Amino acid sequence: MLGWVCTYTPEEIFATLGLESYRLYGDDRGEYAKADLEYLPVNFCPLGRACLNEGMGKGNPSLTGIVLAASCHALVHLAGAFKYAGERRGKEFFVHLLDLPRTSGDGDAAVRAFASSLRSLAGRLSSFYGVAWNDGAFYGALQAHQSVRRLLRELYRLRMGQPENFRAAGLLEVVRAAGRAKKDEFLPVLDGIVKALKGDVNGESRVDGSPAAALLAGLRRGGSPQGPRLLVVGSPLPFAYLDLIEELGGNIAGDDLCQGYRYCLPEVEEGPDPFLSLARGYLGRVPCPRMLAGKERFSYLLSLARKAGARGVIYHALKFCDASLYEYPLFREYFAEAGIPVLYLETEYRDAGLEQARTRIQAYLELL
Amino acid sequence: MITAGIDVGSLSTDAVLLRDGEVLAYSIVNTGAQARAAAERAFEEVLEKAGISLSEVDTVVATGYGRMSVPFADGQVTEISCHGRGSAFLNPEVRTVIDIGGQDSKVIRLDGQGNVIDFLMNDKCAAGTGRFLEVMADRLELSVAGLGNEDLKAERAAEISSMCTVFAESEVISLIARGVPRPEIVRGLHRSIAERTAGMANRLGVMPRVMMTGGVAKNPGVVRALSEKLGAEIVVPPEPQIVGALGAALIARKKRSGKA
Repeated sequence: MLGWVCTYTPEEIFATLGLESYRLYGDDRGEYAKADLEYLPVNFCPLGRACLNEGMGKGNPSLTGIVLAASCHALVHLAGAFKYAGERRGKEFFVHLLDLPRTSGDGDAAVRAFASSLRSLAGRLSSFYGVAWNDGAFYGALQAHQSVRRLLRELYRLRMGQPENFRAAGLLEVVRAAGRAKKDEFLPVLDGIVKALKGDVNGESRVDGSPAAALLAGLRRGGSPQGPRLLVVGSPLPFAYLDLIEELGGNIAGDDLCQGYRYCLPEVEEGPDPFLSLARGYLGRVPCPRMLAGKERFSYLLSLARKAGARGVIYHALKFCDASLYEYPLFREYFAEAGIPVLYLETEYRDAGLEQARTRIQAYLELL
Repeated sequence: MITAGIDVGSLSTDAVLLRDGEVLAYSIVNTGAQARAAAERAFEEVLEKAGISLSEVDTVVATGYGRMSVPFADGQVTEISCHGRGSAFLNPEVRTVIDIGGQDSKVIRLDGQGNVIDFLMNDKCAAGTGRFLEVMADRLELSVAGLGNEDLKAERAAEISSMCTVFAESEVISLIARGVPRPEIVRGLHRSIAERTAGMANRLGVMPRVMMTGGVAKNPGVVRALSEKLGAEIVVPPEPQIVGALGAALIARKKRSGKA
């Protein structure tokens, strides 16, 4: 089982090579032993620490390797921590740090450089796991991945129409499940969810006993349509905070989270060179905060906010996240000029501090 | 019409009774370990002071961090909106409110009608708040109320560079050991609070008039240091600790009658 973290990691490569992959979300509660403090300082990205716990804790012996992207300093250091932790396990542990350009898909040089990074990732995986690349398998895998992403975007479209009926954390659960599943197996589940939700809209609701039922139950909510529509952006945030926003009357109509909508965005066109196609598709998506495309990203987010009818934006930053801290003042200014106030929320990727957040969020909703 | 506002803060719980836009009475009690009991105590006390019975109160709005623990409240509104509304009622020219309470501090920007248009709050740690002053007063063998007078005796301020309560306490111990006069240490502490608060206020943008609310506004040393730091006059209401409860009572009135 191969772990991965950053949304710039094309899962299609793992599927083509026949490797099972598993996205780490930093679910480090329950049976996982705390491993992070042995390798990382306390003032380190809490998501990174949680991913190390999830990947290397005692409860998860099946992980045989990890692919991280050099998307921020935290992930670069996390690769080092995984390497040490892997060596301590005694068995050979695969660690790969994917080189990632800082520019989005406009420049051909960036695309070619990223394609070359992807090619070398596939090469290293092939030799470590003794598996072979096959273009035919790639195109099959690509189709399944594209279909999953299309259906997820459909879910987001449905949510944008009636955010008061959707639980934001439930939607992220579905995206999370997609990031951990074999795509051809997950497709019918996702299809069932989308059909059932469309049935809700048309008044012909039905829930079958499939795995879709549990995800569906978590997705549904009966909020008031009078509550202000909101956009949630920034670092991945604990589900309890999303539930709190909704409990206080906010309706989350859209997000720009790497564990959320951004995961659903890459559109990869088939071409003669699979790696070039992947590089173009993944880099061409709306860039994440660490990319050098501030204004382009902001104008996209503003148009997303307008499309969602959002009256406010909640910007979440993980503690010690430099990319968020640098971006936030510019982001706030950009949205203030557009007449949309932004609420800054900081967490340590845990449910702690909910009551302080209650005041902050409620005051913001009162302001709206 | 009689309305009440109850502000359940981390250190004190305050209640205000309002009759047709005039304050009938107010009370301030310690919150202690039970927010609900404190709210009941503050409410009973204010009713007694005003000489009216519970049945005469039309609407109650609760605010403060313990606002969800007031079973007899008809609504809950955050202290940010309440301090804004209360400040604008006391002085309609106020556009910036600085509220330093027992465990957090807030800077609130208002429009001309007392509506909040933006705010910043430090709810991550209690440095630079009432709790910070309590710890320091204890270390200096002073009462919290005595800090302001002690500041007035100082000829200069001692340098306190740390913002953190724990580290600042270490600095104070070091200053005591060096024989630095107590008033200078107190002024240094007030300056450190002022620097921290001014940083937050300037981040949001300070627009006159500035009003300071919350228990810490009763300390003239902090008010003066903050005024110097901001380069702006600071208005302090006669009882700054009850502004949140006053705002809640005003919101209760609006809730009841549809007019502020």
